[in-house]
Amino acid sequence: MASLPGGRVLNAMGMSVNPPAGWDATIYRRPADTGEHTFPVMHASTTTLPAVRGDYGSGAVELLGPDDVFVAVLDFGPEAAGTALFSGLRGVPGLTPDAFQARQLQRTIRGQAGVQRFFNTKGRGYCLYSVIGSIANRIPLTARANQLIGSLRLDPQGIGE
Amino acid sequence: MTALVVGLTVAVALLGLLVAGLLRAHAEILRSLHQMGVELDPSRQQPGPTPVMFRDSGSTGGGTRPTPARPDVTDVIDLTGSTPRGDAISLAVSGVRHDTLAGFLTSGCATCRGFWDAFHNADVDVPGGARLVLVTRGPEAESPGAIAGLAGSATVVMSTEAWEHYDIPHAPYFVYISGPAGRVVGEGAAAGWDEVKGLVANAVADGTTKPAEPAGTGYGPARSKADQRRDDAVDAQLRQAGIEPGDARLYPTSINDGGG
Repeated sequence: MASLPGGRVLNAMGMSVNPPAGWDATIYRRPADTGEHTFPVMHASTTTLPAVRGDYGSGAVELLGPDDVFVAVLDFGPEAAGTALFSGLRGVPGLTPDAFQARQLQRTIRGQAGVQRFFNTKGRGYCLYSVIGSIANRIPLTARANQLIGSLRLDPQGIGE
Repeated sequence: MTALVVGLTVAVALLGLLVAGLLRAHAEILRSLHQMGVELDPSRQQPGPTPVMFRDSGSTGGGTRPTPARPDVTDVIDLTGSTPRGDAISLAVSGVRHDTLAGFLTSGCATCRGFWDAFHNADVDVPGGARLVLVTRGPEAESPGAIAGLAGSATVVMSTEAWEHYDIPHAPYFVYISGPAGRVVGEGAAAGWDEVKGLVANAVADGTTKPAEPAGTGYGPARSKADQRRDDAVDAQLRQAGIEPGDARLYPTSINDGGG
């Protein structure tokens, strides 16, 4: 994958992303409790990613300023791919400014807006979730989010299940 | 017989002098290395006297460094590697609003132990609000399990590439990077966290952690005069309309909101 200026390719657990300059990014998988099965998650943000975060960015989105963006991609595994929620959209979707809505946030934070897209690729279901720090800046912030999303590659063979 | 004894005595004396000379030279080498901050004996690791230094904020790059392989202070890279838990991670250090204090530590050095203990909990207060990131060599050189035990909830990036790029001479070693300026503004070693914190606090107070930002970063003084005039005009108009910074009308929750 070609590197964007200032970016560094992260490649782990079936996901790879090339965060542009100024982005924090991580690909992780929560330790599973007994009988539980966890899947990889990618987080990226134009602010510092705190050590303690929820999968949908709680703990991180509170830090977003009016020029900031948070992006999460959550793997839901192969069984989700065929369900109605995930089967309607194939491939990693790009985002449009009007898709960001305050009511799409996991938790409402004044001034912020979010978007959630469920999709499938290569036999697995995924959720793309993004939050922008200011709905008033949604046009340039959507472009920032798409720059990150455009560098995302999903290769389930690398998950190692 | 007497001649043989005398000869042997002279030989032993000469060899004794030779050994004494070698021991003295060895001690001088060790003392010199110690003064440079390098401790070869892990059982008696003492803090090196090499201080954390902060450069003149007026410099725009090209300042001298204590190590030769990375002479350009603007040659910074993001901290990219893995966490002790095996996650992939990349933390931005340039082109961002925050500063970063990167602490290069190992699991084996005794001086590092004090830093690990100080950083075990994530709530470490760095003067000036810089983000503290601990950097170890990669999993091929350090045990992720051992690092996880030492680090606790502190942010750790395991990256041999970062060690080599920043040309880290020994551990512990700290590099202070200005995010808005995208350059190293200070680096060195110290005895303990309190000493590092004190030096960083002094540098923050002196303003040396806030060098001029390169043009086009979008932060503070890098804005063009035309942009600044436009911002000032908009601010004046908003104030005339009774809208001050923080006014709720500046943060609509939807595109239909805001009294339009």
